Amino acid sequence: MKLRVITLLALRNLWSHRLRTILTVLGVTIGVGSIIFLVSLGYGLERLVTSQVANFSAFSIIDIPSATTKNLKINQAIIDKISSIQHIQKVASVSNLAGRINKKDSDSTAEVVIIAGNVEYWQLGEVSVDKGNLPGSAEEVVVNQSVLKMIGEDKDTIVGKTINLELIIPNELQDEQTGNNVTVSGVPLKIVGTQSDDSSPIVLVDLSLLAKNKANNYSALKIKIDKPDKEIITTVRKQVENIGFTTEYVGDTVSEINKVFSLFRVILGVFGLIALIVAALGTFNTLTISLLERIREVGLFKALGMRNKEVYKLFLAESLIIGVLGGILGLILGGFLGQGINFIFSIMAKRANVDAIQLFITPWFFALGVAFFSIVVGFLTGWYPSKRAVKIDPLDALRYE
Amino acid sequence: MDQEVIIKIANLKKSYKPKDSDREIPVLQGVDLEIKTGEFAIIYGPSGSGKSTLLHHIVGLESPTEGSIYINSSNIAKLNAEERAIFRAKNFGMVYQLFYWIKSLNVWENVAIPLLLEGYDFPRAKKISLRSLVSVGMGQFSDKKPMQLSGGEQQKVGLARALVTDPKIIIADEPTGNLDTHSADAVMRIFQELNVKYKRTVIMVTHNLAYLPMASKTIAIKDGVIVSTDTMGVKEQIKKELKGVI
Repeated sequence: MKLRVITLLALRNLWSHRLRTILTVLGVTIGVGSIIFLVSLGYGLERLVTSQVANFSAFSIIDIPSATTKNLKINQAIIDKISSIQHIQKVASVSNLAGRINKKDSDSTAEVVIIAGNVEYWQLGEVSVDKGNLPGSAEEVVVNQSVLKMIGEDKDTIVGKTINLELIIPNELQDEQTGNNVTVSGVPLKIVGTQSDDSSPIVLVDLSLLAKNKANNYSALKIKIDKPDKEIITTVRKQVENIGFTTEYVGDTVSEINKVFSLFRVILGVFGLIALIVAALGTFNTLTISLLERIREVGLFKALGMRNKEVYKLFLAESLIIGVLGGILGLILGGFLGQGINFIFSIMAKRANVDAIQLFITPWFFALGVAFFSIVVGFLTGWYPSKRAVKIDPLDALRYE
Repeated sequence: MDQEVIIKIANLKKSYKPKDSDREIPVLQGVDLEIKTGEFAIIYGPSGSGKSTLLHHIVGLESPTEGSIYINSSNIAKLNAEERAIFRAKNFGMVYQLFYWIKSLNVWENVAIPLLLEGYDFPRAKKISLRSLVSVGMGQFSDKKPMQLSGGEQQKVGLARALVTDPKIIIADEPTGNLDTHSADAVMRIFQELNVKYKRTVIMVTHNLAYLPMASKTIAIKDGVIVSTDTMGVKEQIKKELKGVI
């Protein structure tokens, strides 16, 4: 018997019990659809969170926040040493220190955090200003909204004005270490730009300002790798750590997030799976009842010369049709629901004038995996009824009332 | 015409062992039988005599406890169930007392099943099935569901299904058992025509002794043994048997 004929016979039988077939397929559709819908939500949320943590270029940057021993200072010699490591494209240094600024029309001062960097650091650290420019020389400074609030200035009129900054240079940044902080007060700096961040008071200055004040050691480094390749990153980090520094990589954070979200996805997937298992039991029930109703038909087929493997294929064909149909419809349903919600969100985002987000993402390998799984479910649910059908003795079946 | 032997059964024995019992119940107790090409053989006997069991052995629906069944010189007693199914599909057309249909299929599709099992496609199978239906006078019902037809009509469709593969041997198990006299006569006329006009070998089991005159060979069976076979003077035989058996 041709496979095409067996498939047609299976379809005819399914069609002759339309309502039952539709309900069974609907069950599988809902099961597969809920897996797709829920796990796509998991993927979407994960993407959303990781994109908040790091953009693509961040994956080629390694942070060197500190040395592992106190005696080791980050200076030009160290920078040269690190720069010579293979695959390192750029090394940018930064120094963090405390400072004070006089408040407007008052003798009191406000405490601020000073970040001293250079063009390379601003680039690697993705530091930018909302208005004006980044500091490019020892006489320039950038302040953020939080600082402006504290000193009582307005962001629209501040650019171009001069402020006096007091630097409190810690011991470890000093060239000749005194063992104490060195305070340099009354440094006049021209404000060249502002940042809108108002979480904590931060001013940005150029590293040359510290150099002028005999502070040529740095707090931390950022290095850029020529290729964000896992192996290269690992070897570079190892080499840097061998010199005596700790390293941090955004990929670590992202992989931690991924770990959490894989668990989250599994939990969501299990919920969907429960729906699919219920549907599979429904399919199994339908096929078993269908078999019991058709014992005589199986007997007739066998009496007319149908072979065992053809009987097996006939019943398996029915369960596979249910599985494949439910799988395809489930993919469409789950995907459609997710994309529908994405669409609604994008319209809402447009109205609110913010970036559109994709809450549901269905990777193709996942969709393929679920489609394959629904076929496996079809196979498994049809397996037992098929085996039973094969065992039917035609003579018993034809006597069966 | 010199007729060749198409079926040769020797010392056929069959016994069943019911569940929960150690005792074997003999059904066939050493049957010897020869049927020649073109014969119209009717097997008759009282209920429980083993006539249906004998028929089931000929078509390979059951396997014997002992003995041999040669069909066209192959001993089907030596085949397994699967091989017998293939053999059955190739050599026999079967008509049953009850009407067995694949309910999701219509009349011509049901008739086409033996062809589909042989590997035909639907379009080719349809052509042959329609021809077979026309040959039993049921061409106009081809698109109906079998269950919508009367008993006589269903039995004719059953006959069309038995004939669709053009088998040399047609086996009928009480084909008129569920029919009114009028329908039964019509069906029997088709069997007779098949035998006389188309030279098919027909083997039929029946209760109804009124049809014995149609046979060219009668086989009386009782308690699992053949008590008499006759190819001559059938009508005389009936008179004798009517007194003896029934």
